[in-house]
Amino acid sequence: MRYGLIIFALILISGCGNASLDEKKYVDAVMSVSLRSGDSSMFRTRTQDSLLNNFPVYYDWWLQDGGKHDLFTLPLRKSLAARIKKVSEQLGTPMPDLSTKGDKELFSTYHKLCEKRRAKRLENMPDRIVFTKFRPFRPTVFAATESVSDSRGERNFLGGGRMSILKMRGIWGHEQLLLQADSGIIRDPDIDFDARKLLFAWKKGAGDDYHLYEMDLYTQAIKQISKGAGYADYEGRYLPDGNILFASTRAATSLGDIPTEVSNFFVCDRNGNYMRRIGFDQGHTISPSVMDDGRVIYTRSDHNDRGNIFANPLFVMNGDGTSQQAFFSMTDRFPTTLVHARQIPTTNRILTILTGYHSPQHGKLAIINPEGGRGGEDGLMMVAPLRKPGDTEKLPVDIYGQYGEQFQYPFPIDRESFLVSYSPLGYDTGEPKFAIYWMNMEGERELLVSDRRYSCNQPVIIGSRPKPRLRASHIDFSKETGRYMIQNIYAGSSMTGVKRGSVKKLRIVELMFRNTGIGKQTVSGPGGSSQVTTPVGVAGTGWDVKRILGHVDVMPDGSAHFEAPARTPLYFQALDTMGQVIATMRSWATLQPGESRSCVGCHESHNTTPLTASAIPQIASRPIDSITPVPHLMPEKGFSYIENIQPILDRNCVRCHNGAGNTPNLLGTLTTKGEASKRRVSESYITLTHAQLRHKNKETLTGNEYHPDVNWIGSMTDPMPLKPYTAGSASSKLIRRLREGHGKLDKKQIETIAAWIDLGAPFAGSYTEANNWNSSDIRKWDYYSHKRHVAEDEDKRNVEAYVNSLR
Amino acid sequence: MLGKYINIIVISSLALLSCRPVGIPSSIVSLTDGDDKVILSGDRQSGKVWQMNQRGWKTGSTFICNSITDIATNGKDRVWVLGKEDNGESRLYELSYPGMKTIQSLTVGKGAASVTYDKADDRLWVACRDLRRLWEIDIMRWSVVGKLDMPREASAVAIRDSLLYVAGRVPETTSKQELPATSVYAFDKRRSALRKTIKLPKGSVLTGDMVADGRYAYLTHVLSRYTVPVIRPEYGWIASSALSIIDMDSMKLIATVLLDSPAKGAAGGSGMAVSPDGKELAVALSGVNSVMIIDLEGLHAKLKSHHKTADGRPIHEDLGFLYGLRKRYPSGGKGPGTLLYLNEHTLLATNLYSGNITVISDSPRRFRQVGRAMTSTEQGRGEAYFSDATLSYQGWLSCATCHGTDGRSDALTHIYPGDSIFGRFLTPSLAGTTYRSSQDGIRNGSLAYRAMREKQNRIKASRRRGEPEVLPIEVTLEEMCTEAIRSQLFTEPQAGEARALASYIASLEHPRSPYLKNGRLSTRAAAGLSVFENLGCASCHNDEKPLIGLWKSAPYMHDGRMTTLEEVINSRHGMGDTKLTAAQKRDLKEYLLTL
Repeated sequence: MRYGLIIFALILISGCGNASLDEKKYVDAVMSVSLRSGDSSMFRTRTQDSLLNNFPVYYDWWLQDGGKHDLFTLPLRKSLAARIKKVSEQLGTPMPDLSTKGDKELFSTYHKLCEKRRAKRLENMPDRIVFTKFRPFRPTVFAATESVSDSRGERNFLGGGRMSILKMRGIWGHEQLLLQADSGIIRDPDIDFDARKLLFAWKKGAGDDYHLYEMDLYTQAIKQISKGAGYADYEGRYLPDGNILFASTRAATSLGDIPTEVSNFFVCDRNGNYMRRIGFDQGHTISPSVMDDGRVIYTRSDHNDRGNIFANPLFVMNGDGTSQQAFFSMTDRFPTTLVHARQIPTTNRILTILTGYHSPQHGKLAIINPEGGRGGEDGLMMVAPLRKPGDTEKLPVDIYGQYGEQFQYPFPIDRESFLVSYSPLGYDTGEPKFAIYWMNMEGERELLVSDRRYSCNQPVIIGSRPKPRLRASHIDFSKETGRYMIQNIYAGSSMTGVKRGSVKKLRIVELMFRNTGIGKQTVSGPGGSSQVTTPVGVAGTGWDVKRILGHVDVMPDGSAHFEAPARTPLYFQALDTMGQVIATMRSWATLQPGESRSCVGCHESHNTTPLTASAIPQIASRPIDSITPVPHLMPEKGFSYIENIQPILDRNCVRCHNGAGNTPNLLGTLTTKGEASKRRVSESYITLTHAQLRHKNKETLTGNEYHPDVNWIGSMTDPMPLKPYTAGSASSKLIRRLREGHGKLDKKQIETIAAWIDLGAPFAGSYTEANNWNSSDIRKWDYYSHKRHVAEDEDKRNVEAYVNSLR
Repeated sequence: MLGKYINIIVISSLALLSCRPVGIPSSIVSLTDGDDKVILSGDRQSGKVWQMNQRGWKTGSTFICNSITDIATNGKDRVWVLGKEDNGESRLYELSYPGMKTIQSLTVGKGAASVTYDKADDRLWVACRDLRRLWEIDIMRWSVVGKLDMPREASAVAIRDSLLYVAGRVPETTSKQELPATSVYAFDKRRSALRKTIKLPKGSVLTGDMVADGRYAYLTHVLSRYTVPVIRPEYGWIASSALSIIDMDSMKLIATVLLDSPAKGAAGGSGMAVSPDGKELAVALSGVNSVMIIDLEGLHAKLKSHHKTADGRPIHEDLGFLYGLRKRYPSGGKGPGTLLYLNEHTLLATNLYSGNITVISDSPRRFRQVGRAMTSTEQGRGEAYFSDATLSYQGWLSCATCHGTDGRSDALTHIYPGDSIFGRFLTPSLAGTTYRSSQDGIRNGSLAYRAMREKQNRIKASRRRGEPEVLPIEVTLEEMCTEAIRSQLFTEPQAGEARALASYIASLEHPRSPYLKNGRLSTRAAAGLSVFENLGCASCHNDEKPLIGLWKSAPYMHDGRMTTLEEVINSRHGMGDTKLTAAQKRDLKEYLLTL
């Protein structure tokens, strides 16, 4: 009877109904390979793969109770006895007498004990979970999981999979198919607060795009929520305010490194209406999940004036897109990249996957408690078992966490246990294949469901949960601005040693993102090696086109309060009396319309309150500031070397500095040197950035960001906070000479050159400026420009419709 | 420790609850009776002392007076109950145990807040908030044998040998400082002399409870940042819930630490208890319906080595200081107030608004229901909401965080972001708050202003073309409460919350001035009234702009710029430029104090 039950159960849990999954066959299979230690490692790998595929629960018990090698190296009897002893101890039952039993009986004894243990472990197992099946997204964490039908470049789509419900009957699960995707992929299930609806993303085949769908869990009727060819909408999440938040390529911008789509966050109502953008981010924002207090935790690729490899922290925001701020590992090399974060209900703790930038989304599992710290090892524990990260576990490496067991998509059940998509053998058997497990913090686990063909991913409990109390939203989409308030700019680690009163102004800079990737550069620095597509200058000079909107006042006590454009990625630079950068923000912030955002200072700890003992900030006694444009810095467009700098050189410098003899060449003649970038740059620009042809084939012009004449914070610097005056116009000998009267430049001209240096020495003020594109490049650019305009128009129309709907 | 302890308690029938009177367990103490422990809880509402055994079974109840404020006991055969009578006078009763018979009683004036038993000197100390006085009562002689002049609104008391520590609930009126703070005062009780004033960090106000574990005294209070405009609601904005630790030997403040953690406020730090083994401190967080257990050994060890945060900020700005040293448990009711360790494994909490006493653990168990929950009436719900920080975003603050649990806290200034500039205003007493009209001259940025703007927008949006504008506009108390939840607590109000809050606020009355003599003006005050009338003060200070409660509401003027009534009288505003004689000024002050 018992055997019958197990056989029945294994058929059910196999997900593919193979009738050969019985204990007898398993025992025969194991006995036939036992002690074949002389065989090649290929044999072992194949055997392990086959056992895990064909006898997932049995072999997983074997693995978790002893390891993966003793099957081949120790007598079966010895291995079994050790396992029986271990499980007996765990259950607190006396060790059975094994002396009279044969090997097969030992197997039976062992499995019965394991069943008892399973029953005990699964006491808190939810009745129903939904999960998906597909091959894990490859090759890298952000790389084209969208696989848009008219993708700009990299596109990785391995269709085939399904979405199922796992129903628990006692200790065994029964898989019920919800939706089959023959050549498509179904992903990202989310359950509504009342557990009646299921939200998911579905791409029906290579020519289709991911869109959001909703299934009624009672009738299984499916409703399409989003549509539009060429746009991928995925990772939809139900928000407490009745809207849906999702990641989408509708921003229609392109990554700075890999020439492919960027996904930003959007919201819409439950029918897909009033779809509007709430994320205005340079790189991806992915894997959102809603926390107890209604905030959304997510991963944001975040690299303005710093390397892209290590700066992929967790962020939080409110569901309406307000209060976007760093949550964990914003300025640390370890952990490198954090994805699939979910809050452990009612606690401050977050369960998350640690992986690398050039790794897939699976990796190691950790718990973060922000109370203990906001990055590095502080507040971080590895799971499972729960432990401080060992020396090899905290290496700040790009391809992180890809050795040994692999985790992805954890979903907490309670404080102690969680569901997780897990592969005990990781890459040992080739591309890791995942099954859904119940697991606890100590690493005790039970395999719930696996599949021969696909990985089982994204387990989500089907059950109602309390709706967070709704945060009052003060967004007003009829406005075009929001407000920033800074309590005291001198507070925080980035302003250490800066004398009070020395910051006079804040420069407000907008980041402008590219439509697509044309031309590339190899870049490297302390923050790793990467490439830049549609580069804006020589290698090392920054990721994006930048536009100086203007300045606002900073009061002597360090406070500032100003109105700024909403729905625009902005960053700030603290300027001294000379207009030189003291410290620059190497990230960006975005306001929603009507939002008031506030911060304490520059890089203040996120575990401290606002300054307590301070007086009323001086900004309190004056009206709110607005950004004062600086006409000679051309606030209406991106900062262009050709338009802003070369005219000054032409007027004041080239009479002497024309390249003749030993004089530096400051002529504006454009050259195609470094042709891989597909952007022409001027001789003077090469001179001032001290750029040289580097890298293989000498195809990339690389600037010298450390040169005493002109230095800047390069595009591949470390993610850690920098000291004030690390680089920029304040440490430029060129600026010093100019101030001393060399070239007889006026104040505005010197300020313009200083601003250019402080922006990171960009060349192009738009992505098309001085390009060296061929007709196919131009066609590509035009195609994606048009696509972006269409997307932006649609967003505008949707916002208008939304505003009207509130009237 | 608590989570492991299992003790099944059978609760009496729920069916009877609906017909019981409302019960508010105000305080809880235990006595040893042979091998057993007896638990007594005073009921603020019914005026009874409930008597329970260790399993929560009711073993008796004794009616004492109109309302019970506090209880103390010598742990054996005496119980002292501080009660409030019909006429508002406070009275102290001595009861014998067993029997719970009143042996004797004496009157202790108005506004008595707490009674503390002093074993070393066989004394009782009764703190009188309104009169700024601590009465010393000789138990043997049963009479008041002394008084200590106290800081403003003296409340929490802790004793070590000859030293008596008292905390002021609100700061002395030092509004000229940018950010006032209350202090703890160490008295030599035997010499009736102030030994030391221990200053708490700037912004410390609204003290809750004080307990001592022998060497150290622990004090809960609000650590306010009322000078800060809205900054980072996820990090505590204008107020945190703090714990100050005082070395009772050296009379020094060791540190102030925060009970809140990032994105998880711990508003309403109130009652506390030290575990019998001295290893744990339990803190009731009344605003978030939780009890926090703090590892005292770990806390003191950490305080020895950590004096600043990593980036040089004081530890009372560090939301992660107690990381690893604290655990939060649900209180199993609404508004946990006082705590009592029955033994090292069993901690009891009284929940003021749900009227139940619970055993604290991961899943708290009901120990005893005391009457019907206060939340069974709308006004009662309003009072509960007033202190309920779960109405706020992440539990950082409730109405009571700034207005005090009685809605009438004064002495606190706050900064309020207006439409364009910030203003600094005095936190008003909410007593007497009623509807406001747009003709009242409402201050830009105030709650009434916001509520009114909201209403105007609504009316505009619904107005059909050609329809006349409706002016003036009135906002009701309920509409102001709705706006308060949205703009002060950062959440969307749920059904009934604003109405209940309005109902509670409307019920608030100004406490009668203790400066009245038998409810009447003294001769001097009567002379002061003539001065008031002759000067024409009433032409502005009519019903619309009442001066009620001046005796307790310093600092003065809308922004708290004046500390004393003398200062106001001598200023231009107070007609200081008229030729009042010194006597007239004195009489005027005397009169103003009676309002």
